[in-house]
Amino acid sequence: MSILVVEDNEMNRDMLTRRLERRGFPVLIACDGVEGLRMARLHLPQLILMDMSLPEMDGWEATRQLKSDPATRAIPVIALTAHAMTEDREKALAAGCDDYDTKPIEILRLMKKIDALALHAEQPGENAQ
Amino acid sequence: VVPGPDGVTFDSNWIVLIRPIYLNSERIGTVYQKSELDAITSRLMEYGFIGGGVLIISLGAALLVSSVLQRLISEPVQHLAEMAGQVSRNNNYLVRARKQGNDEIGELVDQFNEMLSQIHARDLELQGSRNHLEDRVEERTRQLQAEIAEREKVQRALIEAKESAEASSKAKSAFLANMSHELRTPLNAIIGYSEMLEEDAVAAANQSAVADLRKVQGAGRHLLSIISDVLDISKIEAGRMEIHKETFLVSDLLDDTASTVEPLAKKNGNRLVVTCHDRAAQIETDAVKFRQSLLNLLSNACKFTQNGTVRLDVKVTAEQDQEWIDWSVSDTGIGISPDQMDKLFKSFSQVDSSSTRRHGGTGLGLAISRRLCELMGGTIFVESKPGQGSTFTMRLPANTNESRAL
Repeated sequence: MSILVVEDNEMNRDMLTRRLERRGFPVLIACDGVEGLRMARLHLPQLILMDMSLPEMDGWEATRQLKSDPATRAIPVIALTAHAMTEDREKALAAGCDDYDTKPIEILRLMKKIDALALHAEQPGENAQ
Repeated sequence: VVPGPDGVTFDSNWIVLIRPIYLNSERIGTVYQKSELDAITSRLMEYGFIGGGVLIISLGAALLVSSVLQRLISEPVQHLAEMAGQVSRNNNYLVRARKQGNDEIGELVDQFNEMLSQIHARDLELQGSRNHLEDRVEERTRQLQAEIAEREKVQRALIEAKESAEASSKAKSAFLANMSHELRTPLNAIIGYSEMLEEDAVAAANQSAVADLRKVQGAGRHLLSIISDVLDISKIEAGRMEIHKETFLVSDLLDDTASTVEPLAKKNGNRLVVTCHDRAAQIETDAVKFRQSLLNLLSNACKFTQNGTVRLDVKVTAEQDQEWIDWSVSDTGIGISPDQMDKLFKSFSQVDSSSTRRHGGTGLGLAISRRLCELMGGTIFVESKPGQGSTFTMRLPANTNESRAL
């Protein structure tokens, strides 16, 4: 199951990528919202981890576009917000994100969320609805 | 011959008197006298003339006297009346009545003139004091205007000072918010990479590296919590902490908090005892801030108590015509003395600074918890005896409307 990581901070991207790869996920990477959108359309990953404050196009807008495109609508998106702020969280959910997590990443907590959404995504019948 | 009956008779020129004469009751004769009336008539005429003359002369004299008296009495009175009229018409108190004699009228004129001069003097006096009053009013007005101008200046200075204080406070919180974000990013990298190294060390069974890396992570997380506290307190002080209230069941919040704090209690050998008689009560609160505040009280209790008991007691109370939900956290720890109590809720003041080193934390936790509770419409209060432990109570408004509706 491939995961697209959209994150502009190099160290965060590197850490997240390596920790996901260690757990056996093939990882695609994008450094800004525009690239994230392009990669998502090109490779159709099984899941996207989307940072919200991104250059070029922010995570909220990228998610809105992904969720309004029938080709990418079904891909679950987990928003990663730097601030543990309620408004950011609500904004992420309003943009169409399926779940959210706050940075710093706690890998076990994030893995639980990934597993839950991946399980959900493996049942195409539900997503089609 | 009997000339006529007895008695007196008149005709135009004569008066005839006939009177019988008796002697021994025998009439012996008659007196008969006939006199002319001319002498009487001329005497009467003479008297008439004299009387008329006297009348005419006395009338003339009276006329003369009265005309002289009129000049003496009524002229001065008329003059006086005219003067009085002039005074009242023109409000001219400088005119004076002319005095013509030293009689009563003269006295009246004197009095009148005296009255006029008194009125005039009083007028002048009044005018004087009015002018004086106007001067004083003018002077006082000038003073007041100066005072007002001074006050406005002070007020402007105060407003400017306030605005600049607010601006610098805003700049401070913006700086803190920014800085804490900037601090967090590299810190997250430190924590994240050390976690990865720990995973590697675990895989390679390198026990000493695992222990060291855990210390790095521990220190990193501590630093992260300090940064969060600083950010929180600066947000609260800048009035930018937002509260998002939702309705929760007391039981849900209680179970969630208890399960989080259980491992923390065990760490210092403490027993966690939770009691609640109103599990079905509802509370309208911001779950994130509520959790943060209550966890702070509980982790403090666990931190400052060794091998003792930490209690969390939840109950509904009524005070000040309102229902509250009290979340009381009691410990059997070191306690707090009365003079330490004052400093307890102030920013950056753990009871003594050595305790910061011993127990960790920023000393901001209680200040943040109390301010968060106040933002949610409640408060935190504390009862404690040194050596016997402390009870911190978080009092939040119960959602009575909702429970009635249900």
